[in-house]
Amino acid sequence: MRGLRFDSIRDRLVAGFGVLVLLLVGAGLAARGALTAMSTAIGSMLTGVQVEAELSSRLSANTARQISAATHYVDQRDAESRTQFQTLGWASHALVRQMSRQTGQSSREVALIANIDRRLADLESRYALAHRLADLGRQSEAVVEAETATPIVSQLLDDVQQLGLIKTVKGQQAAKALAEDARQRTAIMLIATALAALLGLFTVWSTVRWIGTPLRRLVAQARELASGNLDARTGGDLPDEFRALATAMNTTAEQLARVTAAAVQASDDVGRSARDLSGVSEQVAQSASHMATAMADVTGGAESQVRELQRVEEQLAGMRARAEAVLAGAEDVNALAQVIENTAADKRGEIERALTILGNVRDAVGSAAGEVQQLSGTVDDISRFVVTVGRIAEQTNLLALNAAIEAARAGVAGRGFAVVADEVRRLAEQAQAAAEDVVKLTQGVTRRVTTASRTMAAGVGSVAEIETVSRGLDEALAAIGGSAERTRHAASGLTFGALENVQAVDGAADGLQVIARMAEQHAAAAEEVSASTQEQGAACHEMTSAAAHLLENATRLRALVAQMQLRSTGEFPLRMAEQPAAGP
Amino acid sequence: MVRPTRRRAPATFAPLVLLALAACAKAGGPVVLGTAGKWDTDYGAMSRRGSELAVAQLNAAGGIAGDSVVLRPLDDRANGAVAAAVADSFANDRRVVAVVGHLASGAMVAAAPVYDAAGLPAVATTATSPDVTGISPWVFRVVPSDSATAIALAGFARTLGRQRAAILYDNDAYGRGLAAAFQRAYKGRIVSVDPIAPDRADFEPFVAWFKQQQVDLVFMAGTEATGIPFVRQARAAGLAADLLGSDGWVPVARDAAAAGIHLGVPFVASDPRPAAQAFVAAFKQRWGMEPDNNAALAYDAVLLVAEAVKAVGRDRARIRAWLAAGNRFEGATGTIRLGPTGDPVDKGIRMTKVVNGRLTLVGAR
Repeated sequence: MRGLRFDSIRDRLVAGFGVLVLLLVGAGLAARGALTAMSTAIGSMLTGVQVEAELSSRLSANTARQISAATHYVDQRDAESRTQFQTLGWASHALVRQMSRQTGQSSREVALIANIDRRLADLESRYALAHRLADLGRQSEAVVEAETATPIVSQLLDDVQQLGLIKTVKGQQAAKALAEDARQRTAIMLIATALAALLGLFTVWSTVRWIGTPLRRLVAQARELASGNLDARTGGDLPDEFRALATAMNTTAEQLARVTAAAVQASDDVGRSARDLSGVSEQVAQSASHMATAMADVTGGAESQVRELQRVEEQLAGMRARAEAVLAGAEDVNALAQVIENTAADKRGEIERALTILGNVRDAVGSAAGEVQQLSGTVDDISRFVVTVGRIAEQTNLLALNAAIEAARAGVAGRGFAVVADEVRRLAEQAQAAAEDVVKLTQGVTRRVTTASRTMAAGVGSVAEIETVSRGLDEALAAIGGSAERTRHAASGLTFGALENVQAVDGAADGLQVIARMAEQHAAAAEEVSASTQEQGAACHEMTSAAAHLLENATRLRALVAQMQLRSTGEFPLRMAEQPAAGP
Repeated sequence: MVRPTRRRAPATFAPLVLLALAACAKAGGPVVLGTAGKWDTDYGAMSRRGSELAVAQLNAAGGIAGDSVVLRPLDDRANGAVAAAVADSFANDRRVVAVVGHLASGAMVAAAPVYDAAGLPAVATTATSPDVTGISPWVFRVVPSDSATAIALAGFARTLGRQRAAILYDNDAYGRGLAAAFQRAYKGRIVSVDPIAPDRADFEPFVAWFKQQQVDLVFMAGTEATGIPFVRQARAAGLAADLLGSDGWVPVARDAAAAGIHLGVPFVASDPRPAAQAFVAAFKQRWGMEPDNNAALAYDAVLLVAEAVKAVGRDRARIRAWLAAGNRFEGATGTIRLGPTGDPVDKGIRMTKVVNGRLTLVGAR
């Protein structure tokens, strides 16, 4: 049981009673099983013993009657005895066979039964022979034959008796075995019952203990709470139901402790507040008298203030006149700066135009120089052409010479031709001379072109210089214009400043008049305050006496709450008791 | 049939038993078949020859699943108590998978409860008693019940045309069972029914009585122990009645006085069926003599059990189940199909007449 854990009393009770019921049912089933097994054993054993005993007794009776009938027939030869002998014989053998088929027999029993059968057979054979002898009328032989059966009869009866004895002993043994079995079963049942009872007792004891121990702890806590000990708690391993109860009780104790603590705190606070209040009241009364004195001073100060303000107003009037003079000067400067600015702007426009013209000149000179260069190139081409013409003229001359020679060779036939050749030679010579003239001419042209080129280059350089100077002048004029503009702006700002000064002085004058009026009103108000302060002082005295009364009550409350025993926490020390009752 | 008990120590086969035990020492070794009977009798010896021939043939053919077959013979002295002890010995020997035997009905009946309790299948050979029928689910036999035999014999007796019959019976389970069944089945008049004892071979009063009563058919339910003296005495006394015997009388046929007597047997060597002739030839080759019904039944029983072990292995319960399942087996003694009572179904017997000392087939019933 200790190995198992239960959460609630209900579970524990159910488990405990379940175990008890199971034990009861188990014990009942075991008892029933034992009884059934025993009754079955008794039944089968008794049946076996009974059957064997019955067979044994029937065999005993049968053989006795059979022998009697056999003996009778030998004497009387009556058909009935003969039939009986035969019928009983079959029956006896059938019984023996039945007995031999019984199970669970000892080898001695089996041997005994076999012996009985053998002896019975022997006996029957002898009597059969005796009967036939008697039938044949040989009576004396029949009697002799029948007498040989007599010892066998006694042996047979002995065997049958012995078998009966064995069966009886067997029955007794069976009874004894049954008794022993019953005794054992009883002992086992007793032990089982005792065990079940012990288990049951243990279950009940452990269940009661499991419920009783936590219950006692809960009762103890309740008593502690009743006596005012709010620190008592119940914890540890508890059944569900008790845990809920313990939690509720613990919570109650905690709540109660918290309420008590809060009450102590509150009474402390009230006491402290009452003391503070009485102190404050006194201070208020004192400061009220101080205030009345100060107010009288305020009234005097306000009057002298009004006088001072009137003097300031006069000085402000002078200040205004000077500000107006400054305003007039600033306007003159502004006008002058405007003139300078305009002039600078005009000059800049002119320079701008001169610069444009200069740009055009530079471009024209540049293009003329280009054309001169191209002309120089053309002169070269002419020179090359003249050389070519000269060479052609030379060749032609040579050709004309050769033609003249050939014409000379030809004689008369070549005379006309010689004339042509001579003409050609002259033409060649002229062409050469013309070429030389062209060379001279072009050389002159080349010289002039080179000179023109140089002159133009110098012209371009001069134009560039003029341009640079013009740009410097433009920049200077722009700077002058900018300065003039700034000066004008400054002059405008000065004008505005002067205007504002005038207005400010006017405003100050107005303000001074207002202040003077207020100072007069202040003086009047201060007199009223002085009067009401004296009334306040009287009220403060009344408040101080009320605070003393409150403090007294708070002390009484604290003492009452302190009766609750807060032993462990120390959270709310009994400060109230240490404090003297304060108050005027 | 139940055989008489002779008080002689059966030590003849002890060395064989030891050999068999030695052979079985190896676990999972040879397949051991228990066999029980009264070995120092003529029928016992013939039975052993039959079973040993069967084992020899099985082993020559490679045994069962490669394991040789070994017989463990024990002598039950045809005595119930001894038979029960023998059965117990077989049951406790876990190597023994089944028992061939017992030979005698009395022994079989006594041993049956032991086999039943231990769960060991036993196939009786010549135990013909009706008591064996249904005695235990573990007990079977390859021979028809005496009841069946007696009915066949009674029918045959009628064909002989005789009217006044007398019955003599060995006063044991075999004789009584057969006599009672014959008495019930025979349709003619039965003059007398008398028990006889094997140790008292004086039948003169009975012969005289039969002559006086003009008995024309004597059915004798017994063995050669009573049969031979009776036949001799009857013939000597000039009893004219036909003499009719059952399988227990087979050895009687060899007696000189036995000429003309009729026998109903489960097997006869002159049976022309191929299975029978093959067995006869093998038996003659091995033992130098003609087999009788004892040998043939033992031979069939061993082969039947071997068939079961081949089919289901060595488990005793499974062997029993196979035997009870009605499987057909073609044996030397005919087609064997075991019925729910453990008896062969519709097996019948062969009717013979002794001519020149030999059983001559005169019909089958």
